[in-house]
Amino acid sequence: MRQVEREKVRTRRGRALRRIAAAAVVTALCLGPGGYRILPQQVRHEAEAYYGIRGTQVVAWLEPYDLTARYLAANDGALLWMNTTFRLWGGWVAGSFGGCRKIVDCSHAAPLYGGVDVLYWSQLAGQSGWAYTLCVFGRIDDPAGETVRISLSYEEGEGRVTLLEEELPRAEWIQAKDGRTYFLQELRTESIAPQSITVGGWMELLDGEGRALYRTWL
Amino acid sequence: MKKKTIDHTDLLVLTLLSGEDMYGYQIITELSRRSDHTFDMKEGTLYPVLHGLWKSGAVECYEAEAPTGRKRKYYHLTRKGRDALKVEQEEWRTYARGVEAVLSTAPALG
Amino acid sequence: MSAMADFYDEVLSHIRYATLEERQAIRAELEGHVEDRAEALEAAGYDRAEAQSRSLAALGDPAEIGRALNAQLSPFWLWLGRAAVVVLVLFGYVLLHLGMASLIDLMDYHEPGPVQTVREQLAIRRGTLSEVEPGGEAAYFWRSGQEMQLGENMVRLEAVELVPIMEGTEVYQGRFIFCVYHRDLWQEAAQGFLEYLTVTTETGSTEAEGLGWDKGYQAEGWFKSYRVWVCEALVVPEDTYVDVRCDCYGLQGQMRCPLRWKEGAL
Repeated sequence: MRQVEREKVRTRRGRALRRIAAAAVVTALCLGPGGYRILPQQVRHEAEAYYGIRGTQVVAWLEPYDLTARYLAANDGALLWMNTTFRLWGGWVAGSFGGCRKIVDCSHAAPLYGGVDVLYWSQLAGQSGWAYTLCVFGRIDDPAGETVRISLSYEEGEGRVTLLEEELPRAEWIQAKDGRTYFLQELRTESIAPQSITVGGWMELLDGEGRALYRTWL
Repeated sequence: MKKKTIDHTDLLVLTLLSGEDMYGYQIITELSRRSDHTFDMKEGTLYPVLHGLWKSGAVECYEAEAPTGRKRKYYHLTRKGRDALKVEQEEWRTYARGVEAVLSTAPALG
Repeated sequence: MSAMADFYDEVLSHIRYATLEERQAIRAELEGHVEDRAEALEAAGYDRAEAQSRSLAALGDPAEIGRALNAQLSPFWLWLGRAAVVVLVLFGYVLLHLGMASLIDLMDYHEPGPVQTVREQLAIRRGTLSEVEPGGEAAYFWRSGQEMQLGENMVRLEAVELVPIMEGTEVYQGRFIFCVYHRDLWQEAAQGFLEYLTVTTETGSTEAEGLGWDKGYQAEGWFKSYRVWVCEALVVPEDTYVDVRCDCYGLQGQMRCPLRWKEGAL
């Protein structure tokens, strides 16, 4: 008995399986060619691939805000300052350079490695100038060190103008799972510096008596 | 001898569908006709059985327009259903042989 | 007839979690059955009302039918299907969102597809890049092919071009053209370490200190599968080789590349 008008009725199982297949296809398209990163690690792996390194671990992090993860990742030879934001319609998005805002080369033996990043700035209310939020980070390899002295400055004309100076004692350092010592600190300062500045400066490792053991330039 | 309960409703429905695709009411009337009115099951219980067979994949279901213009749901025996039918037929025959074997040893009743 | 409607309602009331379509289908199937039976009875001589009520009664207990039908519906597949729809809608919207963005990108520049990437990668491994050609002012040019491994990437010296910096002196601007590719065929080449790639001549240059080291930049038209990177150094005929080195982030690699003055003369 062959009718021309024939419409197959599907069981619940049949309907569900078709929907699962469609969902799987769409999801695969998003996660694959669409580039939707569903895990923050994916951004870190992309940063690793960009620099040709592998095997970084998360060692320290700042408090997330606005669904932005800000953390330090490190392996034996490098230190990465990472920044990724979760967007519902885009997944974990990386800023420039695969989410890595700064990378510090740690492959040449030194007691101290350091870096600095300007997170954001806002105009001061009622007066001229800007409020800067910066973050300083680094790795300390010398067990004799007790304090890290930081001096941040920016270029103006021929010279440099000091932006802020800070000392980080051992109590504020972080012992990571890989056995090394790191520090990661958010700092705020107000200044009449121009809006967009390149922050540089130096960091010093001081021993228990306050003597400088080593200086690294940023 | 292990006592087996065979759900013969399944067996009967599958057998009917092995000949041609049928809709619900047709199955009831055909069953009644072929069994010489031995089986006159409560018609409402057919549909749960049909849906059960449909859910397990033994039959497929499609909607077609009947000559009268109404849409009817026809049931079609699938390959899986044919295999199940074979199994159930065998089981029934074994059961029937077993029963017959016991009956034949009974003394003839007047 | 309200009795019929009540009957079907009673059956359906014992079914939980059915979609509207499923309910309508069950109702329609039962209605059809009753109609068929009623027609047959009418043909046998009963009046309409009688036929219908007999047909209804022949179906049996509505509650029992309802419960039996309910037992056949599995909530598992229903909810799984609904969950799949939620996922489908969410990622469908994401795809639209991403699709819009990448469509706009695609219109601006054409990214090579996977086939082209594989072809490029195979071509690199078979020989040198064909697109590298000597410029008009070059005095020496040769293709090399010497490569070193740097972590998961390979750095390969494709070609060397020597351009005299001015007449009368035997000092040449050496352009060392590198190709960086990943050891895996399908992976993108790294580029973050390129600024640490150095080319040091045998003698070093006394003309300008600081030069003779790397001064790299990315050649135009690089594709995702490999990178082209050019280092410049001042070269004099006394140099018989250059050392190519990279040491950063725990990656270490070096190779000594001979300068082919004889073969490369143009």
